[in-house]
Amino acid sequence: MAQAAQRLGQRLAARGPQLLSAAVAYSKPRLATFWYYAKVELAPPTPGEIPKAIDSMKGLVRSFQTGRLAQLTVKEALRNGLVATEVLMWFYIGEIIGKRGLIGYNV
Amino acid sequence: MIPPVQVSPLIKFTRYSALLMGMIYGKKRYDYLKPIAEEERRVEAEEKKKREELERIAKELAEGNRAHYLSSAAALCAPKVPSHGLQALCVHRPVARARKGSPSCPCV
Repeated sequence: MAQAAQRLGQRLAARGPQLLSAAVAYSKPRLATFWYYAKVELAPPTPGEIPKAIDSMKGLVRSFQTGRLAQLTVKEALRNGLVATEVLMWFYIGEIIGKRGLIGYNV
Repeated sequence: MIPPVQVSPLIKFTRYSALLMGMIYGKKRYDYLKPIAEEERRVEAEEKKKREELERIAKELAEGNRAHYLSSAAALCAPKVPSHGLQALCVHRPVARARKGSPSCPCV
């Protein structure tokens, strides 16, 4: 087991730069596409957008009050549920960042 | 490539505020749990020390008892090797073997 790891280490060291350049060449276009989408979709809200967000929230509350809830299709409801779940997951990612550990609190 | 989706500002706002809330919650909970865990470790170390002390005393007592037992058995069985270890109990002079069933000799 240790010998196999040693041989792997040797092979890596011998072909390290080549592997690195190959990895970079592979990932560059994919990173570019990711960045292209992330710039728009994952960007934080600009200060100008915050009033719009507050307006949408008020609209949501109003629609709850007027009973538009009963007119939602199941498809729409599922879609909204998925979006809400995704927003919830961001909370857990924030918790991971805050506790500086992936699993459990390292106290 | 399909153009990127324009995410509604509400969703963006809630996402990033959830991220921030999560970070703050994680940090606060970590700061709360850390002293508790340290206290637990300290108490555990103390208890362990006490337990080991008691075990040591019990072991010494047991050794003392066994030494007493062995020495009294040695008086009857006359072992040829030093009297510690269970083997000592079984080593005795051939003459003593004749005394089978003797209640005072624990070697048979």
